[in-house]
Amino acid sequence: MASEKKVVFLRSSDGEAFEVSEEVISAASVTIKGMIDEESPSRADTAATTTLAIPNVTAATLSRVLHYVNKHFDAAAVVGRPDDYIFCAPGDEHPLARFDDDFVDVDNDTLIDLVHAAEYLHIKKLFDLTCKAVADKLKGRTIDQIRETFGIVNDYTVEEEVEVYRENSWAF
Amino acid sequence: MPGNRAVAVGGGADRLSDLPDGILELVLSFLPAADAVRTAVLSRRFRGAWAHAPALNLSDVLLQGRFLGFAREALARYGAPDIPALHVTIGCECNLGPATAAWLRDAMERATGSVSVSVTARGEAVTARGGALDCLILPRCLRAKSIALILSGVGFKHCPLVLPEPGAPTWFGGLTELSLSRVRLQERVRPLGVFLSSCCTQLRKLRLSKVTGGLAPDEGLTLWPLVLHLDLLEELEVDRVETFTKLQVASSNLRTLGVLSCFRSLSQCGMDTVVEISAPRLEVFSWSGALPKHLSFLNLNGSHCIRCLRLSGLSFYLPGKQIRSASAVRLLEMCPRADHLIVSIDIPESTSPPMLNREELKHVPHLPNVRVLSLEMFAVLQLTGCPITPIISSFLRGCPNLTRLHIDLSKLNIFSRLNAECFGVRGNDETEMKKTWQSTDHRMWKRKTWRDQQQLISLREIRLSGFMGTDRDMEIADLLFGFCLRSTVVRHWCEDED
Repeated sequence: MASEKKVVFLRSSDGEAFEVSEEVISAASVTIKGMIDEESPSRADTAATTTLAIPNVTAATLSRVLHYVNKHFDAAAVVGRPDDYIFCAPGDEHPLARFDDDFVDVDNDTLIDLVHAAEYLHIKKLFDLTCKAVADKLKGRTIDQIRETFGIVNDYTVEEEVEVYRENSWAF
Repeated sequence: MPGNRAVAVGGGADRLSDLPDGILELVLSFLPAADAVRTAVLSRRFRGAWAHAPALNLSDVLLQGRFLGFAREALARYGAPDIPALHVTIGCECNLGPATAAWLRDAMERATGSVSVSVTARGEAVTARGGALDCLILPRCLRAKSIALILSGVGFKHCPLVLPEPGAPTWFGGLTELSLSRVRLQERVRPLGVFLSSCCTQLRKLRLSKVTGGLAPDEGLTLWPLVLHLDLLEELEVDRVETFTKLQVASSNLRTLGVLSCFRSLSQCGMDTVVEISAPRLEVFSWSGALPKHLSFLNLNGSHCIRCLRLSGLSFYLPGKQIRSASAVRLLEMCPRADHLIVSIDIPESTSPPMLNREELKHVPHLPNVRVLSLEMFAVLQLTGCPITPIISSFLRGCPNLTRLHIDLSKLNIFSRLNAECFGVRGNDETEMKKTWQSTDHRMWKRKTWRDQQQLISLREIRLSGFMGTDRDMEIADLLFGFCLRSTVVRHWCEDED
């Protein structure tokens, strides 16, 4: 059918392919939109679907990213209906706020994988969301708690450390 | 503590430290500045990272009296003269003095992207400053693209804001968004409208909330005109600015305009208040509260470029009392092209079922252009016990070409008008209500009116929010099923999850 939505396949670094609407992923990811635009002339008259290699992102992360992208960028569900805000539940500042909170409620490694993926794929909303979630893991924690949470090795010499504390004493 | 050395456990990589500089700095920009600075002692990787974070969030919540000293150090040690974003929150009365205002003035000059200042101190009349920042003098040149100031204070005693004097060079050319809230203008030098129109010519969004025109010598309020000639302005909202004598806006790009509760104060009563809007591309228009003496849309009438006009904030008072609904009726007459309407319907406590006869509901306007309608029902129903289905029904009959309908029932059972949002509780003490509204009058309504209604042929979607499944809610649902065709999607929202 001519009107059928075009899809693209994204192949993760570990070889798994994911199907996603071309329109949705183009709206979400600047990087993939660029790849699709480059590919287009050669596939204009072929029916073959495109498969794009995403070498930096694993299947586990890519599937999470696509879950986010489908929630936030699917035109049928989100945009395209400018009067939609009256149809959102009142009191929801952002109808997807709860989804976002749950989305980043993951362990540190998964979260940092998402940060890298969002940066590589150039999905600004997701990049900000995940960076903010990392910040939330640092907020209000003691130095020792942060070191323990993220496995940060204190590489200061004793003298340096005294010096750093003195230099920033105004913040303690 | 110094000397407490952690060793990485079993080869677990430190992925936070491995983030590229730009990402690590972005992460730190989401932290309160004090937390961001303290990360410097984590490891060498973090030593100077905070000083390049693209935003500084300075708050006195934890620092209290040490805030100003901290804020000065943070700005002095920041890694570059330009700060992309500066966010300041002040909650302590002790940090509202002239020293903070002076520091703020200097700090704002360094911001290149956005500046936000919010004073959250509890305004208590007994305290010296009443929760308002000491007089803030705007710098002559600001490079920031967006500025949002909430400077607080109780009553009309908000923070004085002094605009730059004319004459000397002034530059606000990068400013595209400005929001002033709880500010008392010191207009000795020049009026706000003149300052904005001449110095902030790139402004796209302007919001004024609780802005007063300065205190007259007798402690009374000074009424003031706001005349804006900002051709790039796209959005304007004036909210509870109760000291306007005149609001005049000319912008060929204005798309969104909100005038909320600006003409209701006693001091305006005897004045010849005027609102003149010249905005050929206006699409979204919200109004709430009384109208001024003169209201005109200079080139709106008959203009063909308005495709979709969304009107919101209008209040209808039912039943009867035409005077109180007059502003809503008049605005609808002035904007006949509006196809998207958001109205609240206020049912006074004194309403009783017999008052809802057809005669009383007659002034509900006929709105053939309206396609999307949102009704927010508002009543202290525990006092009235009035059925609301006839009211909804009369509105629906006025909108024969409706395609989407939203009815919000969540404010139907409020306890008090003073603080409707806080006390909005539904489904409480049902028995008391049933007694009153299951009267014979009400039953009669059901039989007589609901049968002769026409169907809304184009209606495709209905959403009910605040639906609790009470008898009254079910009657509304019944009514809606009567109006709509089978193809309509009906969504019920139940909002008692938490």
